[in-house]
Amino acid sequence: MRLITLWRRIWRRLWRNAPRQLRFTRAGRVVVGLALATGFAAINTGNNLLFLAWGLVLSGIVVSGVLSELALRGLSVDALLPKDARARLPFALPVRLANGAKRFAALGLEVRARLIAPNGKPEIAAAPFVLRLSAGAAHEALARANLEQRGKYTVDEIVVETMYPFGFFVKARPFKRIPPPAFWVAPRAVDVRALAVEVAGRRGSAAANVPGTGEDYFAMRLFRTGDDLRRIKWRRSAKAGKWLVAENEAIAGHDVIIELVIGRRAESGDVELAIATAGSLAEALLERGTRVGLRGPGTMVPSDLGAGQAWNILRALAAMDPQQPNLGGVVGRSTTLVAVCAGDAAVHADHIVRVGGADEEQVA
Amino acid sequence: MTLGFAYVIGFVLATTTALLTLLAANELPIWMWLAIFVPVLSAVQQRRGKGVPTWAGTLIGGLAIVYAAVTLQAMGVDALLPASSGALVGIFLARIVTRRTLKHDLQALLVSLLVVIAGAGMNNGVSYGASFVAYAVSIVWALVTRQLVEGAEREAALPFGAKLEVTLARRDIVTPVFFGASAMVSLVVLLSTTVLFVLFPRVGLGSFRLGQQGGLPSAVSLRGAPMARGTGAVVARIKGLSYTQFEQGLYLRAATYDRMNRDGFARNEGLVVTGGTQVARMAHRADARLYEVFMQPVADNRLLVLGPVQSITLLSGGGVNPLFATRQATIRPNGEVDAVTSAPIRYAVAGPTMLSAAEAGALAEQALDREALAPWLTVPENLDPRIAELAATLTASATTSSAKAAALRAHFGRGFEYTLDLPNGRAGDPLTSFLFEDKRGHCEYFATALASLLRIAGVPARVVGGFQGGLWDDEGQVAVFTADNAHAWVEWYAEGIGWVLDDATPATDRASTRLSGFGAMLEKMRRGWDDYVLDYGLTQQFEMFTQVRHGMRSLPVELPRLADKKTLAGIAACCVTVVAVAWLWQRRRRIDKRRVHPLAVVLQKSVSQVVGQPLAATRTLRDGVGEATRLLGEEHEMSHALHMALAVYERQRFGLVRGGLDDAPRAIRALRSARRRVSSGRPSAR
Repeated sequence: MRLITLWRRIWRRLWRNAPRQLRFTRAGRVVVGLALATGFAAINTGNNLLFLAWGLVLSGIVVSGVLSELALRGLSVDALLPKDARARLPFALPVRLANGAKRFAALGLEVRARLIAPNGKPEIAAAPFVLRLSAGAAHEALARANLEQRGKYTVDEIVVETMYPFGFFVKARPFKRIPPPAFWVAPRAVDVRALAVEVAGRRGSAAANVPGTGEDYFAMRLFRTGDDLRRIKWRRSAKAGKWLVAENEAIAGHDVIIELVIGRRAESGDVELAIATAGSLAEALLERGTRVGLRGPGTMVPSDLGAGQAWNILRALAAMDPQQPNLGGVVGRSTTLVAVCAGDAAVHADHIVRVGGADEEQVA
Repeated sequence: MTLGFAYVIGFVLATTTALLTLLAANELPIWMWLAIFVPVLSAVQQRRGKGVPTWAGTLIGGLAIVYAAVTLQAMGVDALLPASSGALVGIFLARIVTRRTLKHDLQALLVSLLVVIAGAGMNNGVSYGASFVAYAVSIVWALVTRQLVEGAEREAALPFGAKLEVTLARRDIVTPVFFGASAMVSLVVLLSTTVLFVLFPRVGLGSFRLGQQGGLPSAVSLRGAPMARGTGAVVARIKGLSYTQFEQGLYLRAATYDRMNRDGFARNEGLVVTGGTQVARMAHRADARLYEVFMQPVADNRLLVLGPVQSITLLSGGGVNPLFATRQATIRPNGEVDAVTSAPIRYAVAGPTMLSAAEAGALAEQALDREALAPWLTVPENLDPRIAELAATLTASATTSSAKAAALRAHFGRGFEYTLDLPNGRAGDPLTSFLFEDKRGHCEYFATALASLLRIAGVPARVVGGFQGGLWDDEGQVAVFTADNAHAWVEWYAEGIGWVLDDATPATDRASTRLSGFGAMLEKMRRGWDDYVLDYGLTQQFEMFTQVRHGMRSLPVELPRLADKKTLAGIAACCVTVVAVAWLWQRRRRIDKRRVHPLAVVLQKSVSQVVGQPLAATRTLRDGVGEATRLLGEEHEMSHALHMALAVYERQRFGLVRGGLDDAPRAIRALRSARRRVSSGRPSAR
């Protein structure tokens, strides 16, 4: 038994590492069956016409193998790794397929990318059928999949298959790169529109230390053409011998730090939901022009603005290991702390968002 | 050609040619030929969007199975192959007419392969070869295009995929290049089929047999169709005869039928093997000759011969594996020759031809040994007494066997008519009905009637089955016998002379024919088919390998002999041609590869010729033409041609106007002729 198991393991490894893989279609099984039956009949009867028919069937099989090899041999494949992949959203892995053959067009190609999820589970991303790829031409095929998990995915191999020319066999050519290319898949998006409105509305404000439209005085400066004449400080201007105007300080909303807190008894589903909520909330707040930062287990992203910051946060969440301890740090007065909690974690924050078993809770 | 149309053409051709391989065997009823129109009609129906209901397919398939069952019931297990082939055709048609998806099409194409394989068992004529080649080409086309259509279907199923109708209407897939490539694939398939056919060793096991076995039945009956139906397929060829001998009439003996019953004559196997050695002499002509026979396995392990056999040598074929087969023929006392004939066989016979009844009439007869000849004098007890009266009346004045035979034969010349219909197949006593009422029938009626009357008249007689007449091929000096030449005749015995051949069937049906025109051409093809395909076996394989081996060995000796001036000149010419063609091809490919407009190439050359140096890579053609015009002058013919060509080139290359493509070849021609004139007649502008 052990020998059989060993043999199976060796065979599987050899098969997986074989430069070409072959599997029968239903038609192929029928043709092979016909070939065996015709060969048996031909040998037994000695009927030369059966030998002829047998020759035709065998030639079909052989030529099929040769032509499918010609279709696959000149191909090269390159995966253009995505930067914006989200879990549970349709995902496309652009695969650049080039036919380096001098003469033969590659026909009837199917591209499949085998991705390895962070938990080691394989996922298949399949691209549409490529009807014809002329000699020397290139084509970008989008291999689509719906990835379940956030985290780092590796492109284990990209397999180009063809059933060309007769559809008897599926011949596959695996393309592997060492080390395998990897990309990050951000946590899934959840609907946090109401929460984002509420957090943005109650985050408070503070002087922004830049001139603006606030009510507090900020600084004096020289008059510029176009300034409102009513803003000229005449006494100061007379004293200085120049026209001076007073500027007020701008008022800005508080920065928001989203803190992800994972309770000890939190279930993995709740943890993932908390991570997804944190990511989506950060995105929503950043879209509203708020400076957002992130703190969480083993992760800290300083506050900043813009789409780049959104991806910084999502990337950090994609890589987040919930088992790590939260990084500490002092939160300034002009910062609103929003805690997204999974499980029964005890936390002090301006807003507490609990996900999982309990409903969302807000604490002022 | 659009992808959709290309696929339909391939499918229709593949299925039609597959049907042809089977139908051309002529073993199935003639109405089944209507089946070849079904693929076309089905394609037309599909194009109109009108599908055939599923029940119609079920009905066709069911009817086919009923047909097979009825055929088996009527004709016995001998008809297993035709019956199952008929059922297969029905199932095939059912699949074709009810197909709706590509999966159905693939099923139909796979069944077509099965039909072709069944055809190999049914049809061994040259028609199979022609249909086979057509099928091989069209199945490749059908499968390749089907694969693309399936891809289009898959693409259409995707959210952003192109619609199926759009892809099927694409004309950029089935291009001339694609067509040529598919033709090449077909050629490769055919070549590799040939290689496999030639090289695969014919070392069969012979566990079961298939094909035209037992073409001659175990009885000559007055109740059924002729014992061997005519299909036009060649059953034997005889070499070594002259046309004069052929004209005298050839009778190829296969089997004798010695036991008389009320329905006709049947074989008596025991008598063939053990009895009759005292009366084995066969009347023959004096001119013993050596002739070679190629024969299909139509006579159930029996060889066809022209008369008594002095010696026989099996040359090739006959068995599934000639190494294992018994390479001996057994000559039976009744003149039959037994040998294993499970495959086409070739053998050489030394022996004379049979003496005809007219020739035997001149010879002296002795008294019959009635005890030894008893098996050939026995008649059924309950024969109609009128038959005995008729025999007595007709032979009243005859004393010898030959005289009695002549009198009885003459009777059939008076008011009897040859027909393949069965006038009295259902009659209670078909012999009586034939002799006294209908007086119409085929050769089995005449032979049975004559042999019966001879026995009643006291002349030992038997019926012989085989082939008679034939066709003469002048080119090959070969007598050709087809299944149409199947015949039954009589042999009667005269003491001191032996068994004498006699035939009462009206001669109009048995005229010998000389092949000419299309018939001769067809026979040549058939002969090639039989020699190189059907008769190809282990012996030929050995011979081929031996020849190749000898050829390789003798090459160093033979090669210098070939090295005379003419041969060398021929080889040199061939080499130059090959190099020139290769150079032109490469040049064309280089141009194609750069995707340079052909007019641009000619323009570039012309400018270079005028300017005296190649056009710099940084300069456009317009710059080059401008410089050339400055050198030549505006009025120069070459300048005019250059401007015209440049205008055409720029319009086609940059003008977004696809029309006027015909201008390019015209411009190229004008430019080339101007260049020729400049280079030959006039001095260069420089």
